[in-house]
Amino acid sequence: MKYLDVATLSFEKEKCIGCKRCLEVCPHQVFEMREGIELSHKDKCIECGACQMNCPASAITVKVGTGCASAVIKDYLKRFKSVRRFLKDKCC
Amino acid sequence: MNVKASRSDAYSILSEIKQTHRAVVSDRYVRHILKDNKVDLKMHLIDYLWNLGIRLGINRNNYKVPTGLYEFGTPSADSPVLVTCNYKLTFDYLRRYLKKDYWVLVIDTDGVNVWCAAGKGRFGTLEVVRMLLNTKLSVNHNEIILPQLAAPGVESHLVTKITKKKIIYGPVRIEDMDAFIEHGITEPMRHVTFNLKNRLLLAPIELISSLKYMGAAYLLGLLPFMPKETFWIFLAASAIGNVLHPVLLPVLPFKRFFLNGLLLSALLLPFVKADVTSIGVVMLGMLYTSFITLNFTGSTTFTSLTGVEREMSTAIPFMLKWGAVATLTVIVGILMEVL
Repeated sequence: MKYLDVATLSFEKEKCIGCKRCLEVCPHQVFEMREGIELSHKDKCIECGACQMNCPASAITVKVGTGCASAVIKDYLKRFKSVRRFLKDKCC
Repeated sequence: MNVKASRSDAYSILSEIKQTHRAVVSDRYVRHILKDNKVDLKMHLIDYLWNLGIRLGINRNNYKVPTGLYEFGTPSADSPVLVTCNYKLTFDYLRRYLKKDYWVLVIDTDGVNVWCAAGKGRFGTLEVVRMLLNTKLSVNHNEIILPQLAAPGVESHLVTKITKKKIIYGPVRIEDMDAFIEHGITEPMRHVTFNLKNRLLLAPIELISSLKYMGAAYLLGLLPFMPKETFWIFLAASAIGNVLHPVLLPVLPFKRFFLNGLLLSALLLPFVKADVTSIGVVMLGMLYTSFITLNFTGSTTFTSLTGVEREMSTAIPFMLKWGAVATLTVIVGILMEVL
């Protein structure tokens, strides 16, 4: 199953030191080992940020977030002080 | 306290640890399986009953294991050290699937599962470092195994820098841990899957939390001129969105969830009767299904925030218009009955 191919993931190959941490942490195998590491399945990226967090060379950048519509709605509603206290932060 | 998931440096981590005080967690859910720090691996009836309650939404936010180092089996100085969250449901997966001997370090994630806690930074560098610095490990190796899904919250190189421990990311699923220790990692262990069972796990909790709206639908149906089926229309809409949609997800034609929901909600059309009001109510039911399926983006394992924002930029204006037309239709229908 794939979602809309709009993820903000980008990879600067020149900075890569080849530690392969990104191969290890990505839950959707977005990176691939060919001649060096390649960003070969960007369309599968879910922007969890695991690769960016664990890249010691800062070669990976991504706008991190959770693909959750109700979280987006809740974040929007939190801007209004009057409704904020009715929102329970019970989900992830 | 919510620690944001962002890159940081060793100094700020250490100074933050000094300021952090964590509440003591009650051990009422694990008392019967703990003897000092030794864990009874046999699942008891009471564990299953509590877990069932959690799946139905009872006490879901307060099902925690006290933090600390636990013994699974009879670990020795050579045994691997695992780190996990303090959600009892997760802890029980470890109890069920770990057959070898392990040290298990439970860290404080507010009773939230590993992946969600990592996404919010709660299963993060700070908490991992704090627990590693405060725990005396009597092992003769230097390796710490974190769950792979903790990676969005943990900067492993930073943990290594501060604690001098080697961080290894284990498999996604705890079922694979014994094989991982024995033979090392294989490709499938790193994949996050979303099979039928995964997709349906949240259905009971979603159905139950939709019941409160069913009360409103029932009362709406009692009003004069409203279709008698109002309650059943909304109940069917909830079932289509919360059960049928997750089941059929892999074969649905659209990438946008709300469109798939709208498509499936066509099943409500037989509720349309000769009167205009019923058309409006069915349209509201279809809107409800579509909204449920839009929200299912948060339960899946393959959606991104940018993707969801893109979908919502078309879905929300569409839904608002649809809702307005549906409400107008109901009002017109009632007026036609009255006049």
